[in-house]
Amino acid sequence: MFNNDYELKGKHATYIRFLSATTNRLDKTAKAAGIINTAVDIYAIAPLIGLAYNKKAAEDNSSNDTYSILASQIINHQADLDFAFRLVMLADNSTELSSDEKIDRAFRKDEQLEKLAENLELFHQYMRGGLEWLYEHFTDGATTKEDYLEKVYEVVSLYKEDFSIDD
Amino acid sequence: MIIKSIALNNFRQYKGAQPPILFSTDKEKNVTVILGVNTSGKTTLIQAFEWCLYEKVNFKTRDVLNIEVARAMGLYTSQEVYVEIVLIHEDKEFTIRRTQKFTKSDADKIKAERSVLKIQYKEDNGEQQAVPSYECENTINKILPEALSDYFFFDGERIADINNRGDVVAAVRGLMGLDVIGEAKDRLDPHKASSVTAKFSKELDVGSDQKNNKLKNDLTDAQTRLDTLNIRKNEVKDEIEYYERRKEELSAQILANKDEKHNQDKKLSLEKDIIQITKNIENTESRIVKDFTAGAIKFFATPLIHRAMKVIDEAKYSGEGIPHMRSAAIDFILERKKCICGCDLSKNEGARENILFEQSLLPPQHLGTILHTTKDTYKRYLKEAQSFCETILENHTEYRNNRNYLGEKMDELKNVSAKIQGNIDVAKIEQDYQKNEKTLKDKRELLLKISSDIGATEKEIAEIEKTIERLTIVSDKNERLRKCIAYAKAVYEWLKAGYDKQEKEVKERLLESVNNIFEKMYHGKRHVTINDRYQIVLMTLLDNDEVKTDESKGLEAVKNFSFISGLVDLARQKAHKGNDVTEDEDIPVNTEPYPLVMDAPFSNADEIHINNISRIIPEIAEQVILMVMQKDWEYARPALEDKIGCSYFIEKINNSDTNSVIRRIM
Amino acid sequence: MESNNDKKLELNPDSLKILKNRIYLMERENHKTKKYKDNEMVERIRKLIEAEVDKNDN
Repeated sequence: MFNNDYELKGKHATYIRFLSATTNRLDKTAKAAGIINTAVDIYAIAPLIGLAYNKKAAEDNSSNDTYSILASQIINHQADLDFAFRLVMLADNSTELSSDEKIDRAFRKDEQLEKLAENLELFHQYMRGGLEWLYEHFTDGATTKEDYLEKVYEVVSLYKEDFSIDD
Repeated sequence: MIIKSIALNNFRQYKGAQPPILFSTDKEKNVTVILGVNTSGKTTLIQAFEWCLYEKVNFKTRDVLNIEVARAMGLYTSQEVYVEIVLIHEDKEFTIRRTQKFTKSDADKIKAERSVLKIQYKEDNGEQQAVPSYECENTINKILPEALSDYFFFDGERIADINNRGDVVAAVRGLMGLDVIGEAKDRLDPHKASSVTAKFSKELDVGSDQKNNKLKNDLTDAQTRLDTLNIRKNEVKDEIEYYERRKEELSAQILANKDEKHNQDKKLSLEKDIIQITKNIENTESRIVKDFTAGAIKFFATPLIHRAMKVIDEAKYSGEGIPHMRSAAIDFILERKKCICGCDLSKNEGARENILFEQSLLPPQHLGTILHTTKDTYKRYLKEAQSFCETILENHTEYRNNRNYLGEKMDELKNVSAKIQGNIDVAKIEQDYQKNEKTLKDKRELLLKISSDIGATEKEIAEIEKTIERLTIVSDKNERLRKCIAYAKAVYEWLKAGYDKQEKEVKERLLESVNNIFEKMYHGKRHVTINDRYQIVLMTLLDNDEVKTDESKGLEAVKNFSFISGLVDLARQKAHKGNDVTEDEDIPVNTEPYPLVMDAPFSNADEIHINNISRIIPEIAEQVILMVMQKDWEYARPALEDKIGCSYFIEKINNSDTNSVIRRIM
Repeated sequence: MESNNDKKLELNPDSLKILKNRIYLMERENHKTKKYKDNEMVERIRKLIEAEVDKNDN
């Protein structure tokens, strides 16, 4: 798990491209928010947001857009990705699983091979959902680089508020 | 001049006061004869004249006093000698008395005091007027100058010398008044260094005219220079004015553009700020992304973590497996088929399952531990989420602020830029201002220099003018001198002409006179010529040639006598003609007739000559006073008898040489 | 000792006459009296001439 390229498709590809700062680095003129350093970071973050908002999304093929996150990147971020994955496994309530079961699927990935693809797909679904949420919120009333950057705080504040963090 | 009388007192051999000898003043009988034997005192009479008039003696002073009187003087007593002459000069009657006091100081010594000359003249009203003592000598000189006295107090003994003496020239000149003219002429002679004319000439400043011209040129130059300087001064003043106006303009511009400059400066400053802020913003942007990225996972995980922790807590697996038991250890146990407790696992399936189950709790790490660790991690992440928020806020705020700040600055920049005219280069205006200031300073210095030069030139002009004035004064002085010289020369020329003419005349007349006299005496057989030195040369007609002849003493005497007579005659003629030296009639010249006082005029002549001379004498002088020896008189008397006005006799008392008296005969 | 720019100087005949007269008289006077020394005479005559010159200038 998390040692191969991962390809996003359709709008999600667009979204991730939009959110990644790499895009701006590669092309300064790109109309991208670039608010998260790399796509792989987003790849790790998005699922959490998706799960938090219970937002799942299937792979999109409304466009031919693709975005590949390279294996090297993914391997470099394994820890984060594992963390994210486990967390999703543990915190997800969309199944009838018990806590133990959740723990299993979170920590015993090796033994849960047949479940692994399923679990990974769940992860990706939430990831896509998270991407959508991010995209939606970062493009809400924001069109310029500055807007996007300012949106960071807004998004964080919103999230904070939605989940009563820090209270 | 006519001599009226002479009175003697104790004068030489005339002991005591003698009755005055009254001389004939008659025009016809104009001869006075004084007879006497030799050494009786005839010569003394002449001497008396000379002593009285000039204090002139050819004997020792002591001998003035009569010897007998002198001897008879008692100790400490005094005696007086005097001679008093009464004469008529220029229609005035003069009384001239010379007195000398003698005192016997001891038995043989007689002290003579200075003689005292007293002169009086009779005024028109008959009153006697004294001539001041300091004027006496002058007065006598006016009447009968001493230099001439030799010729009119005629000493027969000395006569031989007369003609040969150099001062005949002087005498003649004196007589004719030529000496006066001669002196006057000499006084004005430009060729004589001591003359008035020469002295004037010496004072002429010869160079001044040349100097004057040079100075005039210098003055013109200096004035031209001054004009140029003044023009330049005005030019520079105008220039200064221009530059000052320019200064004001530039100042105004600078002032007006102070804002511009300010704005330009501000713009630059703002631009700098903007760059800085932009940089800051970029940094902030980077940080936002970085920090966001860095903390996002943990942050976004937060709500999930809570859920996850709940799950973990709910899980039964929260119990721990055998602590520090490793799966590998259990593998080992399984392999050895013997449990730690010693149970044989190959036979106990349940035990084996249990062990397997325990092992399942330990894939590499004990799950509980993992969970524990995970929970710790979660807890940590939760904490970090807090500071994340703060950081995000910070960054956001900073970003916001910077952006606002940037916005402000850019607005400001926009405003300022709008104010900037842009095409005004304030820096250049300031440069121009500085350049102008320098030019102004230079011009002011130049003005000072020009003013100083003007001052110096004005001073120079004043100096030159002063010098010119001085030279002009000299020139004026020169002018004056030249005029003086001209006058002096004119008078000189006139005197010279007069002199030459007169001298010629004198010579001619003298010659004529003398020849006349000679003629009368020698009836044409001889006559004289007079050379330049007024020396008479006897010429005898010999075979139609005139030759200089030697002269006998008698002839010599006659010659001399003729000369004297000629002079006297000339004087008389002049007097009567009222002739004067000058061409014009304005200057009256008094050449009086002089009396002839002759002492032994015949002493060297023989009787024929005596006779001849005697005949002439009365005709050549106004008044003749003859002192003759008895023996000579015999020869003269016949010729003179009719002319005798008075006659005296000098008698020796007791044949003494020291006591004579004068007795009147006729 | 003439200077080079000799102008024809006009002499006042009256002044000249006066000078002739006075100078001659002065000389004659002094000849008899010998009152003045030579340099004194020069001075006196100078003054006479200067006076006449000045008179004519004014």
